Amino acid sequence: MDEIKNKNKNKNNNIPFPYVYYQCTCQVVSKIRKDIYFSTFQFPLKEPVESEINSTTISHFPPTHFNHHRLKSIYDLFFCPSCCELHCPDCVKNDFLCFYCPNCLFDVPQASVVSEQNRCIRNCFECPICFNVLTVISQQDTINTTATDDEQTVYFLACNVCQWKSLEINLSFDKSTGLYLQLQKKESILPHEVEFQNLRNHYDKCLRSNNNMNNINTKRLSALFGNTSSFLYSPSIISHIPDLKTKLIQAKRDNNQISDEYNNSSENKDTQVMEDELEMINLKNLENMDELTSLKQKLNQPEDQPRYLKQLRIHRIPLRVKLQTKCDKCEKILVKQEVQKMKKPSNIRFSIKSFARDYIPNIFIQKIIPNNKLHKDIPVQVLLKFVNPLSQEISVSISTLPNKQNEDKMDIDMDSKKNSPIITPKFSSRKSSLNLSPILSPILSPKKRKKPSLKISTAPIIPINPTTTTKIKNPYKENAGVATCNVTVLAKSFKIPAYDPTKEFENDTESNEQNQVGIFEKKKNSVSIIVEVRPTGDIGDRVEFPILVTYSFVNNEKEVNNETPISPNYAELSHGVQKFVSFWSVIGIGEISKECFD
Amino acid sequence: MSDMSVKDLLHQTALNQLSNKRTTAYGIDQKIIIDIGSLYIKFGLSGEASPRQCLPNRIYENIEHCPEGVLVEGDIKPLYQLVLNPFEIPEIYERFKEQVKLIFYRFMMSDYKHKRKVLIAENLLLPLELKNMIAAVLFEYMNVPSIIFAPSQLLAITSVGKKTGLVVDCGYLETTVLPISDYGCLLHSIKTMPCAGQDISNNLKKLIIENASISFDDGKIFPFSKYPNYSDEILTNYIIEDIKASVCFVGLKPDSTEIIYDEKTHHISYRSSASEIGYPIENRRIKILIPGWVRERAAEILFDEERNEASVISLIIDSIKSTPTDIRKSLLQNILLIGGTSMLPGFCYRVSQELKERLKEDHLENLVKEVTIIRSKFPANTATWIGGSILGSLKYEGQEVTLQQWNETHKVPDWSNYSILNEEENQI
Ligand SMILES: Nc1ncnc2c1ncn2[C@@H]1O[C@H](COP(=O)(O)OP(=O)(O)O)[C@@H](O)[C@H]1O
Ligand SMILES: [Mg+2]
Ligand SMILES: [Zn+2]
Ligand SMILES: [Zn+2]
Ligand SMILES: [Zn+2]
Ligand SMILES: [Zn+2]
Repeated sequence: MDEIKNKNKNKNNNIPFPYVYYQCTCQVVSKIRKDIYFSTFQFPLKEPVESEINSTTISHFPPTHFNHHRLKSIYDLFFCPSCCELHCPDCVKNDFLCFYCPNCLFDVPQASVVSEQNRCIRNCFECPICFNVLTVISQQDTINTTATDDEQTVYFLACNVCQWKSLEINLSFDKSTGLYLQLQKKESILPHEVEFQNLRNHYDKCLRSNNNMNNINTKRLSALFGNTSSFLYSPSIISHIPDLKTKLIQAKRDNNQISDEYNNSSENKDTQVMEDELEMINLKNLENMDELTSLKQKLNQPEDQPRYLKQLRIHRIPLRVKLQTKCDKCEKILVKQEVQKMKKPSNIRFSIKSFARDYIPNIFIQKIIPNNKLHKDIPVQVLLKFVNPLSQEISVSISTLPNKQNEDKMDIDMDSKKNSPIITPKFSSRKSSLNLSPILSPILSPKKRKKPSLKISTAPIIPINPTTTTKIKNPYKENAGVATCNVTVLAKSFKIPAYDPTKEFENDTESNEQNQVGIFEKKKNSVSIIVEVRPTGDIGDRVEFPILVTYSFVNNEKEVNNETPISPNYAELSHGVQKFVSFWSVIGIGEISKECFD
Repeated sequence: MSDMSVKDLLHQTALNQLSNKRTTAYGIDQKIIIDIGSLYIKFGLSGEASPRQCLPNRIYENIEHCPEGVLVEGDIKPLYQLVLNPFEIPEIYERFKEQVKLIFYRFMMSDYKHKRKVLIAENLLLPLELKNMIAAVLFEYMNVPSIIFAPSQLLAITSVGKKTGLVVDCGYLETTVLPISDYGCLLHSIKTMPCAGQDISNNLKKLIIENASISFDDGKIFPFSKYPNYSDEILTNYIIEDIKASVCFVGLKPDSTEIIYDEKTHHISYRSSASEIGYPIENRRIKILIPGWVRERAAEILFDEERNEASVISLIIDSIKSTPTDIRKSLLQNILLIGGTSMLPGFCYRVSQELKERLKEDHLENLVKEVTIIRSKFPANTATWIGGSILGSLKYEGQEVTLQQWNETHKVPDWSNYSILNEEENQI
């Protein structure tokens, strides 16, 4: 049972060390919305919050408690060149490029996708027991056909994984091709389908017979007072279907030939109860579970959710989609695969791609010195390598969250470099979150909390009076991460040269310029900085820390070259304008282990 | 009409005007019909005879691979609970968003370009926050052109072609009884108790831990209670749901000789002729031996008035008693059981038998012979969806909220909410 395995995996749903993960912009948006919700108990609209997103607001929302589920590897992230923002699969718009069968790879046109219930119309069927692909087998091989002739070959479907055969449900075919058509002919219409059509026709007739009687006044009147005065009406407009009711009652009056009672054939009134009693007795005397279906098998056949294996039917394989990915905000296409009919899906080519790795500084853990186990209070040096994928030089500035002991130091950092705006993270995301003003406010004391600057429409009903909500536990507050290390970065800002494809194969030549404090080395389009990490947590704690990266560049390319994907253009940026982009990343280097003295 | 205040009447008029103003002519474009339960979301296209899926609300471990890749499924987990901590709404929002992503992209293959309207089977008692949350996800994330809300019990009754009946919905979180007369929901007579599938699940789990044994493939058998640490690992929500849907059933009302009360532990057990069943786990190497009486009596809490102050039967009786006498007969002639829990074999039989007994005790003998449970061709947990599919495929005009209205007001209408109305009135 896979479920048990899954559960175990769930428990340590943590990214293996070492890693560098990134926080997508949409996490900032949802954190802001969450905070507004918690302070006003009204869920704010997405757009006004989104429009507040810039490198400053981002700096206020570090990834708290490292919700690993929502952090992303750089390979899962997109970058919208128009909005200059990170996007992840959670915050993009998708639309369909093509539909195909994962088994036969046949490309299905959109029209038949709908009419065929999103399933393959060729010979692809899934096993009703284990959901793998069924294969066609001819009976000839297995049965000695001396008496009858080889004309009598019978085909059936079998599962190579669980050995189920369609013969178990008395299903076989005369030909090995066109199975779906053969199946359609063989399968009688299921009772629920007949019933559904009857019901539909019944209601259709009722509504139709009254179509020209669509008088608003009659409708309103009857909806208000009811046509028979014998029953109560609630003050609800949704407690009845005004239109349907009017029409049906009208239909009855105007046209007595059409009855508005649905005739459910001539069934004994106690059939339902008797059938149920029988079923109950069967189950009471059940010997084992061999004949019974699992929940998954039941749910795979929602039309009757059978209890016994012999009631399962085979189903065609569900189709899959290829998507095109657009920016949620500006609808710019971020990823588009080239669709080549009947080509192997492994052969993916992209006609458009805006992956984050081609736009933002790529961060790698180059080395951890010393590369031993981590111990409490014994500092290690982490060499973080920043690689610039752009064909422009970029300026990078780094901030970290305040360390436990020296919380007050952080504000000083802000003034140390006047020319490049280093954005210092505010101490607690909870505090800062309420301030959405795009201007960096230097003081942010809890007393000076401002109301959110967003326009929020008043919600109709507030479930629990906000004044009494102090009693309600806010589960998020407790999750706020406990720092397990102190982090010191000396090189808080540096420049990374442009990526130059022509220099790709040149030897590494260390630049002669004087190395800045805290910078380990500079090579081509990369800079490695030294980060000192002192674990402060307990044994077994994960040592991971967020850093805020802000980079800026000036678009000095006059010509825009659309074709080379590795040199993404910032067409939407005017020439010569400096642009700042911020994002949080989380660096994980390991677990604190037991101290050992040897 | 005495039941209705003048104020209510005024509201009713204005709301109807409003709804008429909003209604537009429908084409026969297929709509997406969604019944959002706490445990299962049923969805599909209007005009189809069955939902495409009954999708359990579960945790996915790699939802970012949706919709193109292969998903790793975690355990089932209800989307929301009856008692709603407002701090949980953002989390529910995220989870529902994931489900919607799966439903639209993976299963329905319908993106925002299709402009398909969505019909939602509305639980009348669903907190407005959740209704707003549902609308927020569908409008913001999927950009659906409009959402139509229809009361789920009303949809269910159309799935059997009736216009009058007593709808008993026994789902995952709660059991509700609502009489419907000529397509009108008698909201004053709605009766509900917070006891349904989830409580059976919890009870079943407890009974298994206390009474079942584990048999290993080498023939050794140990009581389950010896492995207290395993219980959560083995008895996941999925396993419990699976056990319930495959081997549990509802026996007839136990008489006093069948009930065994343990003075020391205060545990109740039952005598039962039902067979013990070995439920295989871990690739059939281990079996959980579930006593017959546990299979038969796990659902007893639904009928236990002493413990819950209500039972399925008492809800029905209370509801019937609060309706006008002249419609009681037709209500009892048309009892419709919906919701997954009512699919337990024996549920229908038990309700029918016990209801007749109670009617007799309550001096309503004349109604006993009327008790009839409607036979449906559709599984009880999809009844609501089926009704939505029928009405969604016809020229049915319901309560509709368009994307534009949402963007302007960020609200969904609700029968308990008149603020929208007031705003609109001010504008006029
Ligand atoms: N075939 C079945 N037999 C017994 N119980 C079932 C069956 N299918 C579903 N259930 C139970 O029904 C409950 C869910 O019912 P449903 O009406 O879908 O709830 P909701 O709408 O609240 O999500 C679950 O507790 C589940 O165990
Ligand atoms: Mg339900
Ligand atoms: Zn995102
Ligand atoms: Zn195929
Ligand atoms: Zn199989
Ligand atoms: Zn964009």
